[in-house]
Amino acid sequence: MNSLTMQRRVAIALLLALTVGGFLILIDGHNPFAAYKVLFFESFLDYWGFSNTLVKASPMLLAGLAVIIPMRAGVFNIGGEGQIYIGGLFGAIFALALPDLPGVLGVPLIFLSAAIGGAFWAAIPAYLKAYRGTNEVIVTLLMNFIAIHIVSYAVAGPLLAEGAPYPYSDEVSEAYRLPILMPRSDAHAGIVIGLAMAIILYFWLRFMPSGFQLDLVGRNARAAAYAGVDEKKTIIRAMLIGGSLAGMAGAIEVIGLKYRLFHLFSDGYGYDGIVVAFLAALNPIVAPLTALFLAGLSAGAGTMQRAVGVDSSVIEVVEGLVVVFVAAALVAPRNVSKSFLKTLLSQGLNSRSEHSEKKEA
Amino acid sequence: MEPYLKVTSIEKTFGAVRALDNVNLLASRGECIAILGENGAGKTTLASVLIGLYQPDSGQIELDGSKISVTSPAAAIEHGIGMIHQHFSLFGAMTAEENILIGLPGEKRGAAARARIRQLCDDFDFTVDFNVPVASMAVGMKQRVEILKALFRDVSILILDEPTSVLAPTEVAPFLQGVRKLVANGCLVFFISHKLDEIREIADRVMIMRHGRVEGILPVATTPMTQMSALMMGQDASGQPAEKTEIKETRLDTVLAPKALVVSDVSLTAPSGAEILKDVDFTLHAGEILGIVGIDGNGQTELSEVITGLKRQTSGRILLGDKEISNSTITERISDGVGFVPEDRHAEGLVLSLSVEENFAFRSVGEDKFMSGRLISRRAISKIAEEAVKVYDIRPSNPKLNASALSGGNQQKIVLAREVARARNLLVVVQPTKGLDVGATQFVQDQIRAVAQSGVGVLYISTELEHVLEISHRVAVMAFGRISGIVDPQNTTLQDIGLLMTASPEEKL
Repeated sequence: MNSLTMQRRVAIALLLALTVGGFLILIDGHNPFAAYKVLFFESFLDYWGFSNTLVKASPMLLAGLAVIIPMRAGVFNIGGEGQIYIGGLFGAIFALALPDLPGVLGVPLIFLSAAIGGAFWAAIPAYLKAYRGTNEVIVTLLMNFIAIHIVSYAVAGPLLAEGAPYPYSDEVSEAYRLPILMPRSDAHAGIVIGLAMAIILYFWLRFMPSGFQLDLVGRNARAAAYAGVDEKKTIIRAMLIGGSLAGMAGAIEVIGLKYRLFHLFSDGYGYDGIVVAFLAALNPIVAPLTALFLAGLSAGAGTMQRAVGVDSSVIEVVEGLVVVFVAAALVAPRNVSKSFLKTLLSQGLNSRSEHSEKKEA
Repeated sequence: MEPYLKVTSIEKTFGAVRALDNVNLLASRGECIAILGENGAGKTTLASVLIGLYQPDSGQIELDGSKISVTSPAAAIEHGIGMIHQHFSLFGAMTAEENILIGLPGEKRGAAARARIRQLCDDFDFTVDFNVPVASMAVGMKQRVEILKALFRDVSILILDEPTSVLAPTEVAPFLQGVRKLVANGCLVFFISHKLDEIREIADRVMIMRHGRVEGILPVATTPMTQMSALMMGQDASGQPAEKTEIKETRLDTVLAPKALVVSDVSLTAPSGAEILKDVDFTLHAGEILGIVGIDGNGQTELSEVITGLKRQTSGRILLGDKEISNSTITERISDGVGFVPEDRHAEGLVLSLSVEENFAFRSVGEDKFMSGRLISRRAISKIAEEAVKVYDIRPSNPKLNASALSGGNQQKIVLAREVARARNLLVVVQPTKGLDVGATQFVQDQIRAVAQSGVGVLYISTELEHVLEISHRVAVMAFGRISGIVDPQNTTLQDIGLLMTASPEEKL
């Protein structure tokens, strides 16, 4: 893979997206440079702002990896959002059911059960894709809504905390809460878990036969078959890994940030993961950077609105533009099969429009 | 006669590579010009410029006296320039008619259009099955659909990129007949090919390219073949025949050699119930090259896939030496020393988005030679690739480049080098010289001979009959999924093989 050319192309795509976004800010009657400056300072150089960026980056990173791994096997996982919800649910159930374990044991087990939850939710579309030929984009996308409502039901019913004014569960015990990295802020250790995963997955894809073979399936499924790689099993494996990663993102939200299971607790992180993945050109080791970038955009958007008066929805437009430009930039160098890339491109666009629809709703 | 097409000083560079270097050409309607050259000589690039896939860096194209700029294949079609590529651009799920009419406005797709397609078929003696999707057609028929697509759009200039390399031997003559009709009807046909005898048969003039330059445009009738190949190879004519004489080789005493591969009563039935292979039965000895010929689509490809493990036979047994491999996986057969050069190097043999060196490793990345401990050793892969790149003279010689950056011949060298290295017991090659020039073909065949001489059994499946007859110790002929006969290439006439190729399953031979 000629990753240098690819990353250069992605960088250009990013600049283009910011430029077009800048014109939108200009049309809105504001100075784009001032707006971007505020955005940058507030999300990366300000203590509180940066802590906020980190808080958002943790689930985005894991959700991004949850898109990258299946995509490297040629499967488009739009279902990160649902897998986050089910992961959060499983993690919370474990934490609430066994509240008295020591943290060193409890926290890994919470992550494990969250990963199992996410993997379970991803296994359904994976099976349908591998053995029934069903389009995974549709199935994963629709299952997101099911998952969101399952969590809403759980926290409004069986898990509802006593006397809660709002659908949320009881608090998880203190032993299970992730340590805080930046004192007095919300910035928790979730980002470390994401980073570790990114590094592990990078090495796995590059230096272990099973990871290399997963990548083969996405690049050329027929050549992979010729190399003795079972395409169906690989699809299942890739989706299970993706689901586990997204599920862990759900656990991070529960035991890192909110300490309870809330309804609607993930604000589209599963979809942000798609942007993270695209922007990283599907390279796990680049994903932490792109997650930080996207989290920064999102964290700074509010401040930008307050300080410069630019509507924060401009940032959503910029995110959308990033996907469009990066997808265009990826077409030429990866040069997998044409149809795969066409699907990739069009699906990328569709998913974003679904995303904004969902946010509007 | 006024030239219909005038190409002046066309230049095209890709990075540091001069793909086209001051190309000039005058051509008239009603002539067939062959374009001859090694892989990477610039033939396909020139064609791509003519049909608007590439824009030349400089130079101009005049059509019928006026300058034109061909900015896209669509613009080329408007100017009446069409091309049939080596790799077809058809929609597999659609029928022939849908493929031919695609992109046309609705009013041009009615019954009249369909009638015209059938008329064209009759005019050029093309057999096309209009009831099935293109994906289930044999290659020869797909090609006819491609040509019909161009003819339907009233092209006056048709570029054929190695059109016969995909055809069965029996399909070549009718195809050339069709081309002749095109030319007689005033078409200007460019015929990109390496096959000198075909060029001799079909072309009026031959344009010889080398390193992006035109070495000469000569009348075919008065130019000896030796001069053509000398210009193409950049050698003096006397150097050529010397290489040819080396080909003769002592025949192998197959009876004494141990068995490398035993295929016994292998049948393969498609889910639809169609018998793709039926009681295929033969023995391949160590050191032997067994050729398998047949009209394209008579089970040869599937036989190669069953032997290498890509498909599972419905019944029958396969033995590698003494070891039964009937139910082994591909990976097991790979580690048993079975090399396989598949028919389609782009779709199957290579991963074009991976680097050249990764392409050497991808088929068996878990093998010890690519590993250090439990991890893939990138350094070991580089080392193995660098060596193979040197031995096989793969160009450009940078193994970090993507495989897609290499020409077809060099890509094929990667596949061959990789599979030859693996083939300790058996090498199965399918169409190994498809689309390769004379030099590369020679190289590939020499490598395959060397493998056989080292004691490996080689199954050589190809539709290029002359090549198979030249290289094989014995030749098995397939027809309708059966082996209709195994013959000695020294004592068999082409007519006999032709008869076996078309032998219907009912006849006992």
